[in-house]
Amino acid sequence: MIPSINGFKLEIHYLRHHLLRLIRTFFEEKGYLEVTTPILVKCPGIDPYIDAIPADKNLFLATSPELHMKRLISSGLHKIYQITHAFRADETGKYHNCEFSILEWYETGLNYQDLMELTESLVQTIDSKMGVHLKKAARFASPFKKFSVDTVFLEYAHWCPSKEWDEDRFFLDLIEIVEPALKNIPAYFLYDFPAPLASLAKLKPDNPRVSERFELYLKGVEIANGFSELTCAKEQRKRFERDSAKRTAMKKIPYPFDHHFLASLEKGLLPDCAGIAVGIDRLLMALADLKEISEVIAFPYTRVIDESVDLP
Amino acid sequence: MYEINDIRKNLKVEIDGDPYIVVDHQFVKPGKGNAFSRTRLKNMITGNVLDRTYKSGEKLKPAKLEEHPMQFLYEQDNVYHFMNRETYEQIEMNESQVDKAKDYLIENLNLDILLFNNQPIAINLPTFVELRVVETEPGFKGDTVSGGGKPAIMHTGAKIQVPIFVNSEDWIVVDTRTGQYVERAKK
Repeated sequence: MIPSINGFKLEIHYLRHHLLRLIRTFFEEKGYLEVTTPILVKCPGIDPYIDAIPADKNLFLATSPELHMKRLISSGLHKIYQITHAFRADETGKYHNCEFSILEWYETGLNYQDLMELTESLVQTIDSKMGVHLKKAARFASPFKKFSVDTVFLEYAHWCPSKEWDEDRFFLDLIEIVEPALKNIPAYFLYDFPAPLASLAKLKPDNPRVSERFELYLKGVEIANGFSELTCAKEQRKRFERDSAKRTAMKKIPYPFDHHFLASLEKGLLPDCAGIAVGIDRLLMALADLKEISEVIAFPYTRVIDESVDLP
Repeated sequence: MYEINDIRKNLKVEIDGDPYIVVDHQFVKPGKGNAFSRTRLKNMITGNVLDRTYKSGEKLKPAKLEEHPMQFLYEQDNVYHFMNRETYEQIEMNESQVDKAKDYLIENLNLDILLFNNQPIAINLPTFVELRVVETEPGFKGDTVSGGGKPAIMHTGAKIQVPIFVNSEDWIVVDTRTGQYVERAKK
């Protein structure tokens, strides 16, 4: 029997330790530099659906290290990765903890197709080496399946998001129809998201209705989100303005734009590159066959705020 | 009004004029998208289960529910009469509303009644009530090896399994949660 405290299995500490080591070894061997960016930030991003946790003096806890990492790429670095914490207000549930571990990396000269390959290779490397600790064979067999968003929506929801865009319908059908239809595929990528969901991704040159963005799903749960990075300052500013207007329309507080980031784009300092964020907690869930994020975090939010006195 | 972040187990909301209780809910948020709450609700009157997915920004109406201390007065022609112990107002419930509680309704019993928009929808009984046996076979030879009892009919009409030493006209204590015999009443 595996020892546990408050239902948290002690073996998870060891699995997380091995996972972090495997990630670091993977990137080290590929010549990446491990970097650090601030948790306390002035500009937490403009995404209308991501709310930051306010800190002191007009600062926020970072919702993602993305903008700072791209500023590092603009400053002349080529291959960088980071393991850090990100914070998102009001996100707590089976697959969400408002404070979570994120792995994010960027490489110049890559596009989202190259990045899918790299991501698959990372998951496979970890899966085969973690298998030793889990006493299980690797389960995420190569090659991972790849589906474009339009293809799966046409097949299961019978409409084409990039041609008849309807945001509410898109997300409702995604969670109610598309994800459930694909849930038995151990590992797959969804790619070419409709342009309105491009956020900081490049649009596809031969079909600007979609963006060069993908998500990785393991065991039916979204694990990672990556894309070919948008490098056009004009387009980026337009999207920030659009998203900011949307926040205002939703009666949410507006966040300041990151002028340093926009300036680096304007000066043409951000080269073509691709980047991705991976949820480390969810990745650990998928590897260890666990069903809730609270099973892989020693002190999940619900326990942090729980006032009842219990064991460690 | 409740927001989707207020959704919790046992939250009571009004949907299409009926009171519902949240029995399960799940926070769902696709990457770069709106948050949803996949919610399972139970109709507090019919018991029917409903699955609803609420989008962030949608509002849920709190169900106006109040519990009042009441006393059971009497039953006539399948109508059950109760009195509010604080306001002395009287209310009525029909047999289907009273449902299984009717087995335990003895005169002057104190209980709580749940009102939805001032209409009674459920009775919360005390855990233990005392009932009088009106019919059971005397000296019935039960299966004494496994301590099995014998059937008995109470003055309310309830059928309760009792030990073999219980006789007609005895008062017994019954657990209203399980409908099981507890002990012989001390009266």
